[in-house]
Amino acid sequence: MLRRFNPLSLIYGGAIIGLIFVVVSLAGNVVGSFTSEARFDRFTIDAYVRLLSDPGLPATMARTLALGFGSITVTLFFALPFAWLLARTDFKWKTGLFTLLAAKLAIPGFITAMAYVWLFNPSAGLVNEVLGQTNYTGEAAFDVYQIKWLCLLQGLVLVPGAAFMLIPALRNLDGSLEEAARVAGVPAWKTFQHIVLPLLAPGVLAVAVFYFVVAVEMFDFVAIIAPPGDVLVLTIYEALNTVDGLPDYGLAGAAGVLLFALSAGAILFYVRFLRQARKYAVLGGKRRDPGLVRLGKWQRPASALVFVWMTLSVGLPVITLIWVALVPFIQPPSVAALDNVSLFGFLDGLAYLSEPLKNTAIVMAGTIIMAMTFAICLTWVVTRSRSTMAPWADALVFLAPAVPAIVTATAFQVMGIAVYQWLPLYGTLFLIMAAMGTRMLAYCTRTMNAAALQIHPELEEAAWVAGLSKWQTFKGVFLPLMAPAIFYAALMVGMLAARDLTLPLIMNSAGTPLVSVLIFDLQTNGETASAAAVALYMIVVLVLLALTARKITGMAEPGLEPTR
Amino acid sequence: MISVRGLTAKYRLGRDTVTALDGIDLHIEPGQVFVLLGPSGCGKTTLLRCLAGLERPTSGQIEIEGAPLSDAETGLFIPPEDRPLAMVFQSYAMWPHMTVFDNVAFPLKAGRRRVPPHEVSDRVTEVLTLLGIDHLADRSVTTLSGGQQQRVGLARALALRPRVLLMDEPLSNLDFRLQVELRGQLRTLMHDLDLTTVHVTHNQAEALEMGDRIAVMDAGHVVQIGDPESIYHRPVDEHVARFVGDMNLIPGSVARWSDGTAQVLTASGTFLAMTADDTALSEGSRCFLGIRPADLVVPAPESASPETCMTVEIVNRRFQGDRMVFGLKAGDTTLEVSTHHSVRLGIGSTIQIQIPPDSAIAVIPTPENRAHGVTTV
Repeated sequence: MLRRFNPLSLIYGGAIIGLIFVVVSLAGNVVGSFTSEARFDRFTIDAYVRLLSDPGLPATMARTLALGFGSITVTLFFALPFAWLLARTDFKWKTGLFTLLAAKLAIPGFITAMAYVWLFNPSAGLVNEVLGQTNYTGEAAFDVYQIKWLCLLQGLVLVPGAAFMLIPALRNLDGSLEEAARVAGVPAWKTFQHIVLPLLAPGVLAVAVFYFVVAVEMFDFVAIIAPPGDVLVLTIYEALNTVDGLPDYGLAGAAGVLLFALSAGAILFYVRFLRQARKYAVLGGKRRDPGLVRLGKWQRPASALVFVWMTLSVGLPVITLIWVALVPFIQPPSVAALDNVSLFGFLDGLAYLSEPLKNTAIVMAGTIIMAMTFAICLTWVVTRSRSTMAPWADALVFLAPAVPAIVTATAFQVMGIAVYQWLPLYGTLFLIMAAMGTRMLAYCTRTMNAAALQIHPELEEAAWVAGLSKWQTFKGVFLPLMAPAIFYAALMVGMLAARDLTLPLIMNSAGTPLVSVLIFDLQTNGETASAAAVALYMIVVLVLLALTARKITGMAEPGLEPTR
Repeated sequence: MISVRGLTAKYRLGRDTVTALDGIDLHIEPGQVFVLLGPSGCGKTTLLRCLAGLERPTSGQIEIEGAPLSDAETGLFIPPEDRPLAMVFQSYAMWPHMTVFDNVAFPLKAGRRRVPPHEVSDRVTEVLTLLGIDHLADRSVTTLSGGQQQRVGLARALALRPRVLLMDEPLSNLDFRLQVELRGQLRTLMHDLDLTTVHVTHNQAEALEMGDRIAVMDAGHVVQIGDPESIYHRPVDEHVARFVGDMNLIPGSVARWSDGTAQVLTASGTFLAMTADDTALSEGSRCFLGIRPADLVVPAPESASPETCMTVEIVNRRFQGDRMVFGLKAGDTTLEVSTHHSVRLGIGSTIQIQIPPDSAIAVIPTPENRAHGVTTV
């Protein structure tokens, strides 16, 4: 007898392909690390020998760690108070701060980096010029090409994500735990010290570890502001862009494995901590929302902190971009410079845009389709099926963010070459989409799993009991209920895909330029006005996209609902 | 001991302003177990939280032992930690990162009412022993059952030796048997310790059993204050009558009244009833003839005077174990009578029942203007 085709197998199929992509992003790099001279017919450990015997390695590792710790320090310095202001206080600029954070999420890091190079590079940075202290006149006042500047800039850029992750932790704190202490005679600050902090610690540490990993693997800033001496991502990048033009996949792979080991270690630590934190899970009984703290005279200092962050991370870069886009070459604002102001950069940028814009649109659409399809399938398998595959799928997807973008890029590149004779995807946009889709998978499944767990299983059980098949229930109940989460995730993925520089930079071959690579190339070639203009176009579109995402999906702005 | 005057609390909910408390006046004597009773949303928890200092009233004053704690007029507001009270939370609010011992000891070590370090351990052991949970001292609170957590919550409050104890639905998260068991224990404990207790509950049986005095609340108002028996037998209005135990309410109007008794005109005749408050009555106004299901005499004895009797039809019966409840019909009105379980009456038959005047009460309808003041801004 012929078995009837079960449409549910489509979901499992989608989930399996998604997992294969995740495995590729992990394994491709490992495979690459055992090759030499981009040949895939014999394997050697030569690359590991070269990497580990490099006398510069310990210093590189130290700089990499410094970059990670420095960045999260800056991030937490702003993100903790911001999350607290949004979640727990009557701060009067909540809506403003929230919009600002959402908008900042849309400004690509490498564009911020570019603006800072134009401001603070030692030879011709605008600020150094204004102060009359450049490399040419003597000691430069500011030198952006330093690890501490990387820490500052990366730290600033990670603030919105970290704040958004901290807000639920702060909001989920059972308010009666604090109230119980206050009524028992414990003053506010001691309550904070002995009750709030210990309970919040797991959440804060989890965010710190997560963003440590992000800071270490981030390539946006290092690509533009290469510090003196390597950090790991730079080692990989340089191995892929050798002087003789032949990528050294062996060395890139080996360094990638090292970077992955570093971030996987951190992620494992994070998982362990989360598990331990679960023992603090809310006890039985009704919890109540924590009340809002009256800031009173602290409104001003709080506003000041927000203003500082806004200036450093949004105001300064955007103003710099606008100025640079208006003048033919970088020069400090002056009466004489005003004579040179023209819209040339904006028009020139527009002329460059047509091809890259089309490519970026294709990549955005492809990445959204790929990430969404796989994520929906995986989410269903993980949260709804009782398949033996579920826990494995969950764990694997959870590990995926530990694979640095640059490693994913290398892995897909290596795999592209390895299978080229059968499947000529190497150098095409499709490979970029596949790599990006895989990168986004972890983000999407995390968002969607959370949404899926909010939907009471009884809603689907009611459909089954009423005679609908599992597939019909999936289509008729699960998907519609998930729609807001899916739509939101899709918009975010589109935004992240458009602004990404790392993957296209590593994987892009000439012929299919993306907007982000165009900006990078223009700035590298010294066409600063056009680079700044295109960057501004991009920021406007992305910010609109980000704000629309929040608006349309009606995702409640955390901390803004009226609380009692 | 505790006095509350003109207390009003409003809060904003989106674009609306909700009045949670609307001019509350209360006086609570020392050593009393004072129960705030009402349906959810009536403002009882808000009132308790205002006493604790967890909520800031919009207007009005609160005093404990003559010392003002909160006065909206002068802007005086004593923060919760400086008030001479302790509180037991509905969720128990156990600090999950501490052991049972530490949960009780923490306020004694770090709080405003801290005791010398060498006394902490004695104090904690003392209350844990008092509540019979001293063997749990080193356990993590996350491993405790609901009933055990409830005791730890109480121990934490009592260890402070407060003059006033506030309890927010302390029994509502426990299973029924445990609730009943703890009601008696708690009441005895409060009296032994001579504590002034303010106890919030929506459970009328708990309120009647535990309270020395009860304040029945509705829509931000205190509707009636009295001892449990007067609340039960002399409800001032329909809301109290319906909320505190079951009561048959037969629609009618006031015919005449004097000195605590009234004649109530109903479709089934005119009946004599007691009044809770003569001043609330007016001739010809709408009112109910109220009587508890257990107070109806079924069937009416031969000796009963005809003007206390009513002709009813037996509609159904429900066996409840120790009681048998019959559904009755008199014209358009349905009634219930609760009898001994052995009583048998034929369904569909018509009989005479007696409404004894000293068990019946003239109940005025809930005033229409008493609703939560929701105003859209």
